Amino acid sequence: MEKNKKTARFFSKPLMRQTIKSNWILCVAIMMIMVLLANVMNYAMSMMATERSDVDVTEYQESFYTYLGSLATYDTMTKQELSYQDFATGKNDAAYETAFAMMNAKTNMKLSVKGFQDSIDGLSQSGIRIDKYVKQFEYAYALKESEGVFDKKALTPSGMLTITLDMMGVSSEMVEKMSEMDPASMMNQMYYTAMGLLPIFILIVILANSLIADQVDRGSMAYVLSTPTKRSAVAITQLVFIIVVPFLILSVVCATRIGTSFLFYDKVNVAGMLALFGGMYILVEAVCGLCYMGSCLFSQSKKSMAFGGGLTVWFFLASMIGLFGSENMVNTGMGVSELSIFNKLTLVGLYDVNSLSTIGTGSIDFTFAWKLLILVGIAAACYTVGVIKFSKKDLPL
Amino acid sequence: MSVIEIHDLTKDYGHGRGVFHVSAQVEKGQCYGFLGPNGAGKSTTIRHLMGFSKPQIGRTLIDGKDCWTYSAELQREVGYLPGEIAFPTGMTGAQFLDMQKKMRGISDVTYLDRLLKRFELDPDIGLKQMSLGTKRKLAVVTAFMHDPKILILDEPTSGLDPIMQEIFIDYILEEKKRGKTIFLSSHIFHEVDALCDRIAIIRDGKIVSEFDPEVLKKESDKIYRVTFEDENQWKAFTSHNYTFTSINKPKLRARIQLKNSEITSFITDISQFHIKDFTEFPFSLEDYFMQFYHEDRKFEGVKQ
Repeated sequence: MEKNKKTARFFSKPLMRQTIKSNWILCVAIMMIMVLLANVMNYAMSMMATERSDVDVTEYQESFYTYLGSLATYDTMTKQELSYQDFATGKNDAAYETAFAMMNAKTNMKLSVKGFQDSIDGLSQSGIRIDKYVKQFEYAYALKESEGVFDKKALTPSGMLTITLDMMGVSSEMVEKMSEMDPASMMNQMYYTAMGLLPIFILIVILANSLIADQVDRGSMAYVLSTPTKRSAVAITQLVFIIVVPFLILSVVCATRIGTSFLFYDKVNVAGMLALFGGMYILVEAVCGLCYMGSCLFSQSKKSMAFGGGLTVWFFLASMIGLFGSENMVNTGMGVSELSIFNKLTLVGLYDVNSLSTIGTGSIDFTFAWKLLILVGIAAACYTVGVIKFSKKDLPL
Repeated sequence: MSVIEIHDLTKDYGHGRGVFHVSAQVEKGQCYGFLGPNGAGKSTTIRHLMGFSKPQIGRTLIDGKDCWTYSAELQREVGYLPGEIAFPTGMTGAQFLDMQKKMRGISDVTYLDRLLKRFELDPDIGLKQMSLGTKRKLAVVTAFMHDPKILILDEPTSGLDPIMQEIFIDYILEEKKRGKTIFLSSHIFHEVDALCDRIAIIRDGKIVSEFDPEVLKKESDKIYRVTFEDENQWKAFTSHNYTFTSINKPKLRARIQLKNSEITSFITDISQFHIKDFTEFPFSLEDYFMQFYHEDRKFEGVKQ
């Protein structure tokens, strides 16, 4: 009888084939969920970005209000009905030229139709409709004339708003912070440290358990080990699987996300996104390492599951709670900064989304580097311990 | 050199479970039976032979190589039939056999096909859908597919129907003739009796007796039952100085256990009586085994 004399020492191809066969459906399902989640998030964020823009329009707003102010004065003086609405039709430019010339002569300003148009163009970058600015001007103009009956101080729309909010029990300070809040960065943080992690965490907990501990517990490992396959080969083959699978899944998710970003945005920070997903992969591997080690240490499936799953659930929950301690959440009034201590109690806290997303921008914050190095260290240590332990321990087969 | 050597193997799992100072040798072409009740340490010993566990004291060798250090290399010559059948999930029997073939690097399937035919196994069903008997058959085929020199069988016929048991025992006897070395554990007396050249009885992790069943059959005590017609004769007989295992007055019977040396005098004695019935109880391994088992019971009784 013909016999192959080779003994699998470090890697077993048939075992890998078997591992892939029995796990690919779960892996593909999780990947689909992650792709869907990433791209829906991306779409939602792109919608938010079009509603609000970060462009600073204060200067344009000032000059726009100056024009509106002079038009208002001109109208009352000459009984005319010039307005922004009328100007926007573009039919009456000559009348405006006259008006501005007259106002210039009176107040020593440099008003012109072109200047008015520039201020309108500049202001429209804000993404807020010009009508709203006109309306706000109306309020300010109406109130400017009057002052308080008792304290003789000028009344302003913003003053009125502050008082109204105070009466309603909402701190005006918070409202101000809310307006400064960066929803895109908050959504990013939420996606990368919580929502995006959940599916792949579930996957690695199940995989790590089923690759070693479950097979030992059920006894089917006996069929693998009663062939000329060393234990180290079994451990390393499964290790390769659990390193490659998250990489492939995150690569696909990252690729589709970059792809859809080009659809939704004009400018895409490819390097930054690669860095974020790269960091996520390192984080996933660190958690995966812990689960794999548990799977190698324990011969009972339930113990391995309790160890790996328990730690992973804790990491995830702590990261969720920690999210409510993040600056963005605190600013919106939905969090307390004390909760940020939870970020120090989870491995997810070592995945610094804010500093990673600076990659590809002008000023790179390198604090992510040492944090990721710790994660790499944890992963390497856990995998090593797992392989050695599995090769040396007594198996109840 | 013995093919399988177990030297002073000790593995203490605590609470008195495990194996303690077990030693055994199996020569080439021999069939060695490990007989013992559940939890006596049969599977633990086999676990060490397979290199799944590391001995605390002592060592186990196959072909002169340490079972722990060379576990993977030794599998080429060893066929292992586990006591508990647990196949991987989500595949058919054929796919499973295919995977095992690849893991063993077998390209020639004629022997495998012969096995499938012999055990009347159609592997083209999902492993989950298989009945226990079919699973056992598949396990048997898997263990022997590479035509190994050494067979390690953990309770091989449990779960097989009587016809399959017959086929299996025939197969093992054939393999024995082909010069295979066989180590089997069992608590089924007749299979051990039919197959083994040498039997060890293990109880509470210790070997309590090791013997050759043929020799034992020749040398062991004979048991006879004698029935009398007349009460006086019965009384006279029972007053003899023999070892009576039981005396039954209403039926005028006596059961008597004799050493080989006593038989001649016994026959001389018995010829002087009027006997209604005389029966010999053939030696059975079961009785011999039960003897150890009962001794154990008695022991516990004393301890209490």
